Amino acid sequence: MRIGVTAIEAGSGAKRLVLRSGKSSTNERLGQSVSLVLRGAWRDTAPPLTSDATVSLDAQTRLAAPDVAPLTWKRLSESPGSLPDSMAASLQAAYRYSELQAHMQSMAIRHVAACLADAGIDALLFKGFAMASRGYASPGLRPAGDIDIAVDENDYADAAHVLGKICHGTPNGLDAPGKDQALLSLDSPLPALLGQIDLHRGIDCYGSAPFAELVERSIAVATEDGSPARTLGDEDHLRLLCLHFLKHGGWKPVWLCDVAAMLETVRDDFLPSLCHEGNPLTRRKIEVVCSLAVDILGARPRSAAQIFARDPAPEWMRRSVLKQWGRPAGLHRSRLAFRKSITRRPGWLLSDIAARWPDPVSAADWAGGRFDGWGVRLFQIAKFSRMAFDFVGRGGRI
Amino acid sequence: MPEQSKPTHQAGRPADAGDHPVARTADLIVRRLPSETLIYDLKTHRATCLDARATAVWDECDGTKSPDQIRSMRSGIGASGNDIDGILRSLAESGLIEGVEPSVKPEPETIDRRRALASLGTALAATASSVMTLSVPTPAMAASGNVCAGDGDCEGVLNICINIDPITMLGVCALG
Repeated sequence: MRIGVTAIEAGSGAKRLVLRSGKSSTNERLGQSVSLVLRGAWRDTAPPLTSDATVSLDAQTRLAAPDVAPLTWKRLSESPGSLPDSMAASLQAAYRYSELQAHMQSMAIRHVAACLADAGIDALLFKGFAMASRGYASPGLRPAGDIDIAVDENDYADAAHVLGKICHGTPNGLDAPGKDQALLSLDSPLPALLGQIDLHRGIDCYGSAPFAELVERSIAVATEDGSPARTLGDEDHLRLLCLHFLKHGGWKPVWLCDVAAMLETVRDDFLPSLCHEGNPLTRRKIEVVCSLAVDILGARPRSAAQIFARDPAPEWMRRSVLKQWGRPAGLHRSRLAFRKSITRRPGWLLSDIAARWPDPVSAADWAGGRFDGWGVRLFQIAKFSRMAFDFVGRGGRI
Repeated sequence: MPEQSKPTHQAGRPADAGDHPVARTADLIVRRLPSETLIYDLKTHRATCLDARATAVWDECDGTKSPDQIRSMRSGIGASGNDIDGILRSLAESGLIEGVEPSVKPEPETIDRRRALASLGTALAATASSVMTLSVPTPAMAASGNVCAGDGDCEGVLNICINIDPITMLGVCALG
């Protein structure tokens, strides 16, 4: 079986972007194939792949994941012959599905935003459709599973009450003081494609600005129907995208595509200082992720945001992210799955621990943003120890 | 940005207006893309994709034109009369037009058996590629969780991906 090492980007100064030294792991090389296909795929016109570009079977599997299948179809459909017909048909079906989903989400967002506005609640959309509608050539290129909406902590209960009237399946503990997130499903004839509403109690974990300031800096969501929905300002949104990417180890390629798309579409009056809020650590985190977007996906930041991508990304981070992208999707498990595997399949403990071992990126982020590459393994051990400690402390409960 | 609109048709025209087909607009979500139109039927939860030719035919179904008049546009979209018959038939079978029987008979423009077979083949091919049914998760699937392609796409309590569709390769997150 071929490993995805033969895709070549065309154009002046064409170069082999995927061929690396023999020391690259299989997952890293697959991740490189993924990154090559996704380079610039969010734009109206992406640089074409050469006619002899091929994608290995394993890389095709990674590229067929829901978050990147539409982008993959767009890029590879412009390079005939790079995929078998059956694969191309599946990718195109995923793209069409995503276009319908985005369209319906747009309608739902308009409805939800109007309901919250009528109740006098400021709500901010972020990630997902908020990025799909502004940074991608077409919203369907960026599938959005949930509709992420944040409200002020003090408005959370009221917002849950408002949404409870138009949703079903209100989860347990929605109004509990310690609960900062809730998933709801709209009562709608569109549930097949709509996804759920992910209501957040503020977004403090991605910045220190009070919610009122975020609202003040917010901008309208770019929709075709004049939706009243609003999303984070460019500075706040870029910060959130970068910190979210690090927190989760960057294992979903579309998260870095979001960063790349944001870098290329920031407003002329974009203020970098507002982005990192004067916090050197936050600034460093934003810099490494923006540099990854440039190095791995070929992002071309607008001048106002170039300050965040002046230096190349740390090599160990680049390789770590590519390895993540090359891993089978099933290996990205949740904490709950970890508990289940221990309690239900103790014989598989070692393999499951290996599958859930903290990735270097999220471990370095967890350790306080130590991105110089020093002590990454120690951070991974420390993070896993903390996870195990917390797990035991909860008596095996979530 | 692709435009979003529905075909215009004569207001108040009865749906069963003889053999003048009328594009259905109720309970449909229409997403227009540069080269095709995606339609989601809220009644059947079935999605259909129309290519440019089928979109052009569908747009002509405003209740004022007979199939013969619609066939007259064939040169404008690079289709034969039989192609348009096939598209009309598929649109009717998909429930996207009203006022025309799904079994629209082809125009008697063929002369011998060989030409008839060739025309029929062309019409079938046009139908197959012009009006396609898309596979989408059922409401029941979606109501039970998020759409996914593998366990890695599932988080929280819904942590495994099940019911993966062989065409879209999409499944739904469920309780593991």
